[in-house]
Amino acid sequence: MEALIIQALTGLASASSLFLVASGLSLIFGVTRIVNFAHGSFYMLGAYLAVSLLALLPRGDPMWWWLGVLGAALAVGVIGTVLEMVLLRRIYRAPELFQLLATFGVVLIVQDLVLLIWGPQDILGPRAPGLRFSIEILGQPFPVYDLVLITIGPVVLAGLWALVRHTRFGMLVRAATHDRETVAALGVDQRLLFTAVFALGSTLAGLGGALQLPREAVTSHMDLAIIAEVFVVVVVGGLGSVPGAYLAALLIGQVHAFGILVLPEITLVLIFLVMAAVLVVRPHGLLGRPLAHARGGEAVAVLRAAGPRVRQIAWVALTAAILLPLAGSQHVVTLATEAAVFILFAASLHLLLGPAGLVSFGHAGLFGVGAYAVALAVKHWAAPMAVGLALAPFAAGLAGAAFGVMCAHLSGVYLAMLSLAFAQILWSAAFQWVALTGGDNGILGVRAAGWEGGGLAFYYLTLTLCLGGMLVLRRAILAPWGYGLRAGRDAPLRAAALGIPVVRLQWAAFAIAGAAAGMAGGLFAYAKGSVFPTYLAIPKSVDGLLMVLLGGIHTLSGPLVGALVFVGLEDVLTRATDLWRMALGLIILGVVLVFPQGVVGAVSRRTRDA
Amino acid sequence: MLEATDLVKTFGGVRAVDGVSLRVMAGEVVALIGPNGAGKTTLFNLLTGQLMPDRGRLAIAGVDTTGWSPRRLARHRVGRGFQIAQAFASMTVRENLQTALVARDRGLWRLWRRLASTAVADADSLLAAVELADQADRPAGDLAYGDLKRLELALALSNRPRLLLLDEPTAGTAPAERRTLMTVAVTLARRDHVAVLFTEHDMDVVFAFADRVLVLDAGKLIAEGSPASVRANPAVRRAYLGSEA
Amino acid sequence: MLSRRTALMAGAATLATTRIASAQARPIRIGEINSYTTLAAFTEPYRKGWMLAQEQANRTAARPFETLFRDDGGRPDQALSQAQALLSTDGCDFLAGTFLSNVGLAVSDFARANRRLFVASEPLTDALVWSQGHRYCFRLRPSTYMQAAMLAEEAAKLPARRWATVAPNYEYGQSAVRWFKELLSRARPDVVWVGEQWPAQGRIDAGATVQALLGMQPEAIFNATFAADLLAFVRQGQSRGLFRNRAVVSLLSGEPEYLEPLGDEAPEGWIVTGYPAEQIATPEHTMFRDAYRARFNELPKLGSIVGYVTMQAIAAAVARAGSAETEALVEAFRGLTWVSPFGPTEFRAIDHQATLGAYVGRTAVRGGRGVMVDWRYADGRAYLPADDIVRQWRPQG
Repeated sequence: MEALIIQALTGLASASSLFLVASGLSLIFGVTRIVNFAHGSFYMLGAYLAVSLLALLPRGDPMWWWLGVLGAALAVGVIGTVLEMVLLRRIYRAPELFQLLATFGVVLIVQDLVLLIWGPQDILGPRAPGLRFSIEILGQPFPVYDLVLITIGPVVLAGLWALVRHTRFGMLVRAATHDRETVAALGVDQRLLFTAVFALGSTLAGLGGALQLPREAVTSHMDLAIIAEVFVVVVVGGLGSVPGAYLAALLIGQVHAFGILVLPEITLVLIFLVMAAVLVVRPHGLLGRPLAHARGGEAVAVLRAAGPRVRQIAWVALTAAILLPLAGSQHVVTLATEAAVFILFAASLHLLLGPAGLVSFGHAGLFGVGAYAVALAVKHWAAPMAVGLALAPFAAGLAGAAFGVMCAHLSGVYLAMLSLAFAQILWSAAFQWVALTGGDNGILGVRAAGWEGGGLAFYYLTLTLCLGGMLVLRRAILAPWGYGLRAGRDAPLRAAALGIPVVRLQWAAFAIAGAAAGMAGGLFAYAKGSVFPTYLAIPKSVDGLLMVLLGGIHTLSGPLVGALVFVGLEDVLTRATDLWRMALGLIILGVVLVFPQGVVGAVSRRTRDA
Repeated sequence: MLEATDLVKTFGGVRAVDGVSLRVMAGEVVALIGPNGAGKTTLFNLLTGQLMPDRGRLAIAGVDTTGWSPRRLARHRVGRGFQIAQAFASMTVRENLQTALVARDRGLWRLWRRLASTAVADADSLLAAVELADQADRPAGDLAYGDLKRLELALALSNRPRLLLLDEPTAGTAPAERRTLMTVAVTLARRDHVAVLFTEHDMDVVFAFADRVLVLDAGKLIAEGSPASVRANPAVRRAYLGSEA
Repeated sequence: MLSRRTALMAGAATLATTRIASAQARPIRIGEINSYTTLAAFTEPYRKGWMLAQEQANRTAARPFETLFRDDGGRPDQALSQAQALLSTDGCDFLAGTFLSNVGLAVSDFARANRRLFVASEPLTDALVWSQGHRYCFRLRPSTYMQAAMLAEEAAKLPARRWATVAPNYEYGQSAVRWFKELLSRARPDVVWVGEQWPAQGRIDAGATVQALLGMQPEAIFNATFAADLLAFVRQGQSRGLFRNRAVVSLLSGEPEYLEPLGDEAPEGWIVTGYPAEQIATPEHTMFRDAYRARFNELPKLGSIVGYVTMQAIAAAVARAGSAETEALVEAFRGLTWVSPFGPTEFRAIDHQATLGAYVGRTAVRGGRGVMVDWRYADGRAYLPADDIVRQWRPQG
């Protein structure tokens, strides 16, 4: 019994740190509708800046320690403010997901900056003077600092609550979160509100990071380690709801603490299972309310079938792709194979993001199902390639259909997060079901005689299947089915009043996108000759998002161009410099600022104007 | 054509619609009016399947449609117009109608045949009917609001409705535009013998086009009759003046 | 920052010198893949050690060496792209490197399929030389099995009977725990295993993990967490009294990469594998340490040793083969002996595993820093299973 109480207290301490970071993210999302990937970077910067600041301040005095922590938090607030003003402010009118792309660019840049400034060593920051001891609780020593953390959570909650309930700023925040027209009607400078909320949110993240110093090491992996968990907290709590974030942080903290006792092997996936369960029962999270419709004014372009000029370009490109192996380099063929695979992957994601208006953060899950279907078939039944390549889209199509059933009643970011949870659950199956999947060591030797990855035969096969698959998707988007999907996205009420079965069309979109992603995954497995859990991990999903967004959501050739640009950039940058993450991040920011409609979106806009 | 019996809808203890019964005959144009907060929108949402009534029955063309979803009502040939025009912004005007026509014919599950070559003639004749033919290739997202309302009307007419439910069909348009818009709607409806029920703020429009007027106040029907009789009804005057005072 | 720049400049300098040398002979090009961005704490000293060995080798080599370092971002598929590019576009003669076990296995599988040499430096997985072993792959570092065996030997001498384990939840941690349990149980049949903790790598919830271990009431703990997880685990363990009156046996924790960041909070008396760089006084090590210090103005870390010795072995193998051609090099590597800073070392012909060992000792805090005391060198040779067992485990032919 005593042990359980101590375990619960430990969970409470973790909950407080989670809450600090999550509350900031929730506020930012509620007001600006930005899915801020860089929030984890703010958290990490808070920790690193606290280390540097505390090294300058007198040691051993509690007052200086706390001042240092606060100073670091404020410094992060300043960084967040600057980021909002110079970057995000310029792109609020771009398609909603474009800000996600921008914040991801920031993540990449900060990762390399942190390595350059603070070096690669993990740092164990100074502990809070006067709070280094433990006290006996029920006969067990318990760190006093954790008790302090347990109280900081509710204190911050109360402060935010008062701020949101009883100040004009708070009223605006609430209005912006739930009733956008009011804000406009009040004649408030929205830009100022956004900046203020960003400053507050990033300060909270910085504080969360700085307060972690006594508990864990400061590393350059902190950002991505926390961000997924914080997303879970924010979504479980209900987007934009600060009390919800606290409740969810408590829940997740306890799930962690007791999950470790009961099922220590599945700690990672447990919180995603909890999130999936919560979302299925309460589609807007524990305390969330339906959000006011997002910022208006998003430019939605009309999709057009290829005109004569685009057709010409397409034929030239196809000829080039066919003649490419003549260039001689093995590497070019390998790269082109990979590019073809990612074109289909991006096209399948684009079907969901674009015409269907369904944001998926877990598309790699379906890609991975295809890859593992092939690998398992080869490993256990020595299946020939034809069987593998039939199985991959079939399995992933089924997975997509199953997923479509699960999230039929969700939309927007909630859908995105449930798809993330779905992919994470698949990922952990690949990672931890060692007997079947080989765990993180993956499955090796996925090859078919005569069709080796990097070989010419395989290249042409991949080119045929991937470009063919992309054309089929394209065709479907321009067929009545695709128009039905877009109708459901553009004006759901109108679509229903016309008798359009929106939910069923979307469900089919999940299945079809799943099949296409699975085909891409299956080909990828053969191309690489091996499969690993990383194929289903979050970074792969983010890669897919990057490709689609780089190309442009509201164009048909966007995913193709986006995938080519991404594969090319990654190859050139990773071979040219160790700072490739920073270079990629800077390029992403450049694209975001210069072409807020994506590369293809920008080009077609320009030619139309001309 | 439309027969509602004793509809009740309560929101948190407030009876927004309180025992309303009404009928609209085929070929008849009926206006539903009432001061702000009278429950018009709620009643409309009950009739269009957007909301479920707590009590009461709904029958359309002799079929009990109580609790049907908007999609099922659409299949039953009920056309609907929204107060804030709803069209598919990422499509051209013609594509909007093509999509609606294909949906009517249950052709949405085609994944290969291009939409571009589908139902063009029907779409264009509907566009001509609402006087939008010259805008056919413009993106619906770029239309002026008056034109968007026309498109909305064309969409509502696309499933050859026997009952047309229009929520403030002229809201947001200039006074001159209102008459043309209503003329188009009513002419088409009379031609095809469609039953029309519409809500409207502009009394000139109501009295010019309605065969019959229903007056709603505080969730109840307080008057019903020809435009002239309703105009003269003291209860109606009281409701309007009272709400404005 | 400074050290990074010097390393880059060093790279540029060697490139320059190899350019001059290439007037005489085409350099031997090595394609090196590692997790430079994701595991920089290990790979930066690693690259320095490598550069040092390369410079030393190039002073005497007939054909100079040139190394192209590539980042795998911690992802096997990126490593495979790099491997392909290094061989086909950059014209490398063979591949080397990698840190993560799954990346190592992926590159090894690639090497097998393409019949090219791959010298794996760091990945610890046993599969690399045993269940997935093949002709073209050699591995330098003592594997999970070997290090677990070193620690099990010490653990068997402890009086403790009730043992708990904590390890990161992936292949390295899983096989470390499996081998340690098997080997210790074999030596001490009276040992009872009271529980296991499996924190996610890099994501440990240290307070809860420590509390869960306390609840098991073990007399001793086997730990395989490292890096940031280890730091958090130690801190929470100290403040919750987990290590009071308990023996801890801990894999890798004596390596400077992981011990140094702990500073004066380093635990006392843990039995660890590691590398007491400043204390080893054998002539070969002193020579290495002095050269490293002179070149980079810091003490070598374990990464430095791994990088240095990998390149050293490559130079020795090339000298033995008299060529950089794959089949000749494979034959040269089989049974290759050379003197590393740790002493005489061999690449076994039977399973392509090097006999490089590790230092086993206890941790202590001296002058506000964690150090290893009472250490000894555990030669890898002594901690490998018998040859007939190896033959059972490794595909023959």
